[in-house]
Amino acid sequence: MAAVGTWSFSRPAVERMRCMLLDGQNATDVVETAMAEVEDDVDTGRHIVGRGGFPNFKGVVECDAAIMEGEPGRFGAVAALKGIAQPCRVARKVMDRSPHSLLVGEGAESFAQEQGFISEPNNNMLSDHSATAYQEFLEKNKRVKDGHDTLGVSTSGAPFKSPGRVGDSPLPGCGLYADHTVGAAAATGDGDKIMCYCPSFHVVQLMRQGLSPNEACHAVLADIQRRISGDKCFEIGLISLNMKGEVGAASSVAFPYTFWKQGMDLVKELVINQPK
Amino acid sequence: MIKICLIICLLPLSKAALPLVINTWRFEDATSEAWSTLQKGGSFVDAVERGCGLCEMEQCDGSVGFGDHPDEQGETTLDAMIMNGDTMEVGAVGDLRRIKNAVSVARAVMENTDHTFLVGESASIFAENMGFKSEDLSTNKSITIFSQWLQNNCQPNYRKNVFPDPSKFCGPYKPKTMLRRPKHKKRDIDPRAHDTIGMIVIDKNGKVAAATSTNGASHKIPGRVGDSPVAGAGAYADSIAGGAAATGDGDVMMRFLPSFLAVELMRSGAEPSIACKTAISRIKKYYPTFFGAVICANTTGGYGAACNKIPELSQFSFMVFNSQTNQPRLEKVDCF
Repeated sequence: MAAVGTWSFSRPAVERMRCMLLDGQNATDVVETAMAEVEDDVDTGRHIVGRGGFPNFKGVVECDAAIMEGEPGRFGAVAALKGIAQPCRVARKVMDRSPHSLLVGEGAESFAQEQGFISEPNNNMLSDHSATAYQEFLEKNKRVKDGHDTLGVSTSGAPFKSPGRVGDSPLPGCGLYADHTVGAAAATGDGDKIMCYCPSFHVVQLMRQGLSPNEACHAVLADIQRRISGDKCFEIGLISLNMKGEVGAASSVAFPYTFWKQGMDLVKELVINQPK
Repeated sequence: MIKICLIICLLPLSKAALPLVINTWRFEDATSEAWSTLQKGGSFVDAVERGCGLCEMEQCDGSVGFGDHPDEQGETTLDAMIMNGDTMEVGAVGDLRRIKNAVSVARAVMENTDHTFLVGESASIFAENMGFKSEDLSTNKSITIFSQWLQNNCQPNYRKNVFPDPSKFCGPYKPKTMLRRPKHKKRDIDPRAHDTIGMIVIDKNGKVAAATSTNGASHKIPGRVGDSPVAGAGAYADSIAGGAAATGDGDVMMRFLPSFLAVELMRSGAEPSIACKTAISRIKKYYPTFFGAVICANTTGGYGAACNKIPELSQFSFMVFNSQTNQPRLEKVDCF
């Protein structure tokens, strides 16, 4: 048993997952519950997830989320979903209650309402922090380029993005990928660029060919850096786990992540690529 | 004595097979359009855009463009993507409403924004701002299909684990309490509901572009986006290796990234046919009765295709146009 999460703020979620796993709970329930708690927590919104996350340039919070089970073929995602503070729970419903894989926009919102979710007004989705940031954005009228975060696969997307913009997070093979015979990987960072490289799928593919999680993450990152040769690499962090519970990570920026494996007493926080 | 030495140099024939246009199904007007765009001096990206765009206007097979495959609310919405295998840039739209030229809107996302994927009504508003015409995508045909479907108790549909029983009744539906782990039984959908155009263009210098366009699955749940606009799923292009495009049951195929996998295999040296076959096999292992096919092409002009054998599909047709064929040529591959 093992669990890993991107960025430092994933620590409480990985803690939660550790407890639920040791309690014998099903992996999908564990991921969904832990993620939903982060999504609904207005304070983690400053890390660009769920309630309290940053709105698009019209001031509306739109979220992307996905959930994938290692048994291939079990996948559910939502994108550009408004008014729902726990989008990963809706993604789970897409996986369990529809043969589709991805629902977007108004259709996703209707489906969520059918499934019993309550759509909240946009003001409930904003926090003081993100509302203030939006006001500042309006005054400055420019886009924030950095600060893309996801936890596993849930995000409110690039701050002040175009309405309807979907990043890498809810897309299979981009934001996340899982294969029960190999392991899983997830990506975080500049979603507009990441989704052109399908890095999560690529990491899992390399692990399938025998590379360790760390080797696979580094190989994919090196591959991307080679492709954009010369230009400064966009922000991308990769994490992966194989079926032995070994963890790997690679990143173009300083990247903290949290990790727990069976046998460890505590969740550990590691940082790679720290500036010297 | 003066000797004359003659040296015959055999140039690799494969390079003569470029430029190359290859697309799914028997959509030959699209193939010709892409080819003539190249001949007139258009770029590889222009060619793939114009090729797929023609199918949108011609409503190829009822599966591309306006006027068919209405969703549960009777509306036709479009998914499309375009990828530049040189710059690795992608533009995509999903659940695009009221705009006919979906692949051109996808190109606008790629070239006029820093984003890669826009969806829904917001994508339509973006398109209008970019100068695309907003118009009703319904036609008498799609309206008739929709009303007949309503009269037929909304059969077939994509609902499950809901009440009223979706195999007998229309919605609205509410979730039904279900067992712990739902049995993942895939409903058999009409295969003719899934004919996306996927096209790969490789110019004479080996630059690769790929694009797709579709109106998605008939009677889909509103907001449903399939594999077509997802980079690596519907299509993928990388001028280092080649390109691939997929068609079929997008809800299933998108979870396996077949186009990315095929290009990655070709990068490692696999022949296009083998790359395509491996991509299909990966899905077939978990969904033996899925409807789907993949086309592949590498940067030396080699190409191939593969498809999953089911009663509704024993052979897959695709179009090829290169400097050796001199016209769009229909090719077929047996499914396995």
